[in-house]
Amino acid sequence: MKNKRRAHRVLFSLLLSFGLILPIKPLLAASLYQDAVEQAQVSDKVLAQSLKQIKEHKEFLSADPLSVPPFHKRASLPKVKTKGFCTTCHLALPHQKDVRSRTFMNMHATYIACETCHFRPKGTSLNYAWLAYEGVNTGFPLTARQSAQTSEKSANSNPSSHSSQFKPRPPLAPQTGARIAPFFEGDLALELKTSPFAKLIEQEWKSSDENQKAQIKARLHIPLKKEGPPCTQCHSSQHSMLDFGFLGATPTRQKEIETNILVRFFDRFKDDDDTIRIDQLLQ
Amino acid sequence: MQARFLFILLCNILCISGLSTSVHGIERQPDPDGCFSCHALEGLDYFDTTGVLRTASINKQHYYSSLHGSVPCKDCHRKIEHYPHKVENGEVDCGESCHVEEPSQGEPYSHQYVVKEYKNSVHGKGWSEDLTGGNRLEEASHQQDPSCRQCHSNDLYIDPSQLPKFMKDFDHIDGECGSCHQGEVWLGQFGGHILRRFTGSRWNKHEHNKMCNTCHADHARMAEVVREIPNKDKEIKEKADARFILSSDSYATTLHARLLETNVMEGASCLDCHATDGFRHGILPDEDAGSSTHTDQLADTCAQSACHAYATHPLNKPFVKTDLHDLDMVSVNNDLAPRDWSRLESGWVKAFIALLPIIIILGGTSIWSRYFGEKKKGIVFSEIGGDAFQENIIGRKPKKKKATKKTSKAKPKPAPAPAPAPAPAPAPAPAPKSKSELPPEPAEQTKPTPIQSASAIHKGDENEK
Repeated sequence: MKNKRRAHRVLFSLLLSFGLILPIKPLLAASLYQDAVEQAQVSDKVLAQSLKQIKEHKEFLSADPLSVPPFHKRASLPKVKTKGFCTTCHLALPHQKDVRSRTFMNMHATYIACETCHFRPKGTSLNYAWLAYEGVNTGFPLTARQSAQTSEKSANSNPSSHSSQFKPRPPLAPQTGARIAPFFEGDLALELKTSPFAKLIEQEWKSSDENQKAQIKARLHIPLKKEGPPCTQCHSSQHSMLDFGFLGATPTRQKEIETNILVRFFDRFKDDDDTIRIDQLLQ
Repeated sequence: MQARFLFILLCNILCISGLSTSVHGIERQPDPDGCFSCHALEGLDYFDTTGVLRTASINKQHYYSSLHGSVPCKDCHRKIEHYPHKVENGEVDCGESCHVEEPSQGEPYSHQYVVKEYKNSVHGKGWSEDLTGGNRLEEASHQQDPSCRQCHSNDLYIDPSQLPKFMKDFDHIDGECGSCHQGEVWLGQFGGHILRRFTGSRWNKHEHNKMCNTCHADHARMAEVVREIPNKDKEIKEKADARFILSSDSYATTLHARLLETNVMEGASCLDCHATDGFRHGILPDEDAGSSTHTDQLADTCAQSACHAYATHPLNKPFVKTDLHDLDMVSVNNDLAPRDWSRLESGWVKAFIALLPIIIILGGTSIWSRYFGEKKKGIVFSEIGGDAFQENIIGRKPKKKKATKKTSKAKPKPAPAPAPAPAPAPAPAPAPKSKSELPPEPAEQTKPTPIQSASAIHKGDENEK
């Protein structure tokens, strides 16, 4: 993947030198996800499934708050809409079906970008850092992204390999809309809702029939994984996917995250139909 | 002497240690099952299939400071033992006894007596059991009567407004009660509980009305209500009328409501009339003989307050007929008000209907004579007033006001009496300028009879003319 991307850039640079390609700037700024979408090969099976989903899709309408008040005072977080590309179609609370995990997954969605869990290309090493969609300066991510868009890509923008340049920041409050997002070589590995690619897709979608929409939907989802990583991939003191120290967690908080009892509890589920006695939670 | 001193000292130590250990409370763990390991997390939300936003997160800090803060979750959600929870296992029955002991008698605490009263009330078909967070939608869409949770949420144990007073009194209780009741547990749980009662745990009248108005001020919701009227033979059901739908509006116009509105707490709240005793949940329809608002009970209900203590006196019977939900007091701009035909039962409407024929006859004939009756040229007839009286009864034409004024102006003032002076030579007297300057008529002339004076006036009128 990395080599292909470099090859593309060399090719585009050559073409540019011959004055053959004018819109070279957005192509150079293409995210890893956009690259993956452009290279996606849609099989008939995937296309048929995509078409079926589009035909069966029902528009979601959120209901008004219930007139019967809840007995307990709730502790909900504000639903801050991000500028993530996924939320063009998906809800801010996207997990609905799995009774066991939906609330926990939606809780994670308030501070983790969709692509962090669902975009994990094989053979590619990604780094994770806070991304403030709403323009809050998190230190480096948006700066790197903006520099890429001006075709002046920083060579020293890999947050993990050059983390000494970036001071660890405390986790941003979910109220700001910030999420932990994937980066590749210092660039955002995901697309923003406002990016040219996202707008192009949106326009195409509006002017497409069902079959064309199925094609678009399939291509957009081929680079993604339906299942996220297991809990222990992050909630672990060894080989954690996320560098909590770099993300700004204090040592105490880091330990809390890595040794969370709920992770051990969920780890006991062997199949989808399992129910587990709650008293085991405290064991 | 020394032995005696030691004996007294030993007795004192035993007494003090006995007192201090005999009334210690038993410390309880509010979350023995670890429910807050998950439910204290923020953002455990999802949209269900109907589009309703569901939340599994509970504000832990609020819960521990709430009325049920010392009640473990499983005291209410008894059957939850597995994850994922089955909905039916989370059902709550508010009438169940919980494991908290009632401080004064040491018995398991329960709301069962309140629930029993509520079940016998007009709202009794509401839910007091099988309550889950998930079936709030079902209740909202299918239930007419309010459930327990419609009016009661898990409020804070001490209202923030009362906290300063509570803290001040709580310091005091340590010295007063602490001589016998010692230990943090007792002070924290039972001492606080008792003190809360003194500080003011009960709802005030504003809160009563606010609670009732949650539903009763909602016209659309009240318009859907089907009332069940108690009857000996058969159950009568009828659609709510405007009087019922607008009960909150009509109450707001009464002195009771307006006093409360201005923070004069002598005003009566909804419950002061509709739930006078017991646990104040036993509201009954007005038609029920046992209702505090039944015609036969109204005198006693009104007399319960110091203001209307005279209401039970036989001579004051009409007092209790005062309508406190008088539709005539509701704004006519209210969309629901004009559709209420019961307004025709008003005494004003009946009086108007009775007088209507007379009004039509008098008004109609007046209008008819004005526009279609015979007219004399140059004479303006007025139907009513002094001119018409003179014209029709006395038989003369009204005076012209301008002419009268001129006449009065022309009248000279009486001349002052001449001062006594030496008699000059006789001179011829000047000719009189007006009638008033003429010497008075001789006294021999007799007063005219009424008929004569009337004809004289008539002649005078003719002369003026």
